[in-house]
Amino acid sequence: MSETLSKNMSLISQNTLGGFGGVGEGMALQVTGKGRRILWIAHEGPPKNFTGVDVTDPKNTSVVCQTELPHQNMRSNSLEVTGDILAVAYQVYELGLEPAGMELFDVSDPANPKSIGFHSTAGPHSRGVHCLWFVDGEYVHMASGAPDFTPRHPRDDQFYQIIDVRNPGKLQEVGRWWYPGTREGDDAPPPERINPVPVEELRGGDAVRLHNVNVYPDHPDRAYLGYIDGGAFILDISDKSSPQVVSRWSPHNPYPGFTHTVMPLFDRGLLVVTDECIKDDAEDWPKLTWVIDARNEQNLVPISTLPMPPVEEFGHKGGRFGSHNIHENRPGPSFHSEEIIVGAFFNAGIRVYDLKNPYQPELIAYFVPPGPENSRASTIQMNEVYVDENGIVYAGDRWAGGLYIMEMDI
Amino acid sequence: MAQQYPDFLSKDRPQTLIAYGIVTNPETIARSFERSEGQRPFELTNRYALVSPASPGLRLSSPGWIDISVQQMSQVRCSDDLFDLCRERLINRSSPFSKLIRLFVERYLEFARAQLERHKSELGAGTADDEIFNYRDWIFSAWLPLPQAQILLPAAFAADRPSFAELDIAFSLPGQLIGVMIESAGTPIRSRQKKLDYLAENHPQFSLVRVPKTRLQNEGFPEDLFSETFVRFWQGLSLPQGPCPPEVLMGRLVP
Repeated sequence: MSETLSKNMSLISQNTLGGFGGVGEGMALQVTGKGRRILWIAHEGPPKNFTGVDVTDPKNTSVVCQTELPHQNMRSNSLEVTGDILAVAYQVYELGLEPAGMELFDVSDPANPKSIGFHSTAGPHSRGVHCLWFVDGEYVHMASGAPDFTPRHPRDDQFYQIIDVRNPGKLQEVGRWWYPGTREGDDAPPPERINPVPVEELRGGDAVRLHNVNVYPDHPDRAYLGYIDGGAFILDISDKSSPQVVSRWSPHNPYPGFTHTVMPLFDRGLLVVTDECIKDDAEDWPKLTWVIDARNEQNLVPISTLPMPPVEEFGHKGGRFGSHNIHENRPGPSFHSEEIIVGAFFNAGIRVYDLKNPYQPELIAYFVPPGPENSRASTIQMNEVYVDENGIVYAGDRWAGGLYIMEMDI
Repeated sequence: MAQQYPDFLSKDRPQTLIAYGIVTNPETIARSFERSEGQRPFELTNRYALVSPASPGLRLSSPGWIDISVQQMSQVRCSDDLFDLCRERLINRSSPFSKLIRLFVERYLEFARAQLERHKSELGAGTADDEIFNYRDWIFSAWLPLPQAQILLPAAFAADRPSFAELDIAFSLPGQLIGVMIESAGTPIRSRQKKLDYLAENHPQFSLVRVPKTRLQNEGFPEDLFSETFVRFWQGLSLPQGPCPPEVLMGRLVP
């Protein structure tokens, strides 16, 4: 694609992050004591660890910090910032490698992050942490392997772990939960494989492991899990040491797997659930964003999906086409809406939906820039999105385009 | 044809159109006025209200909103049954996914009932069930909450198509239009805010009440945010009246 497609959205600026414009699944905004606004960005892969961009003036942004990974056989795909504490996920590409786990940084001086804590989850069957959630300053909720966890299937290694980070010098796991049957020794039978791929392919898409977990401070007794082919889970975590399943919903199969994010809209009794597209050229189409009636949280009912552009138009333009990350209404300097959903849809760009009538979600804005230079895909591959409290949209291209800053006219 | 729409800024015939309830496209209601011949007077239906500064206040007893069948009415044995029917109807007029609006309506109706208990000595009706009027019958004089209200803005706001300012709940009192917004953590949406601001700045009878979500959840109905006229809704009336006065029933029975 060579031209921008847009409706009710416009580009304010772009920052290619010093030539390392591959953006992972972590974006979080810090407002410093001096009023500077620093957007922390996780990278899709090595060599960079994380990047801090001063977005105080969204029209004129600058990289203030960019750190290196210890080696090239790992990635830090996810991060979160709360106050001046940045939490970064470390995932390795081969089982048993180190460092794998989660690191905390003091970013009160954004140009000079200081490591203040590290929690290792490295082990013979662990790839470490893929995604984490840290919004209350007290607990990191994350998808990780563990040294004492032997999965029945090597791709089912990452499960739900709760880490107490109140004392950064002494990080400790306080709770865990995994899909019954995925651990060696479980009484439950192994789960069904949705689209089996060879077991040796560690990065294969067929997996029953945790991707995202969301826990909101105003509802601290609930965790919302996207468990890839296992579907969506609501857990009761009022006792963090013993999470209990409240309910599960899964469209897989017949739908093609990879539940990614489960976001509650508490005031409306709804969930927004995304399935990540993981294959190019629409090979795993349709990857949808589901709207779930969760008024009775023990009986989750799908009522609609966010309308997607035509697969015949986007499916074969290059790269992935389908749902992925959404803005997650996290606390902090963050947009919060129970009606407006902003999502990253790979080559369909950033799309904004009005969920006022959840039975008929309406596309109200989108922005699809051209494929960036030096990308391995011919199209934009919007991978992550964050919206600040002023409605400014920050989005990242998976491979090369870096940070796109947009405003919505909605 | 925008000039045919009700216009609250009109100098000769100011009227306010309030679509309410589960109305996904209020334009259809506005457009029905394009087909009308002559000026339409005060109206109250199960989807909208058309009011002017001289209109009577909208109360639970106002005919037209409840949409009750003769059969249902025949099953009503006492005023409590009728009130329960009103409550059910009102709650179902808002989306099942508007939990806070439904909570507001619940809290408001609880409050209205509690007001009668609190002030029964001044209500001038009997207390025994076998009397013609019971003080509890005054409940139907409570102001009618219009959930998920959408107020038609005049062509001066946008001439190309009907535009509506959205309110969580509206009340129409004599000479007053009260809008209620339940405040939560939500970030204002610019286009909606612009319409609401226009309404607040230009509607001569409009006032806005912002109700904090936490107060509604934790403390019940926030009566201190509302006027004396609002909370003492029976004042100025001589007798209580139910929402289906005989002429309405008669009108339905006559072919």
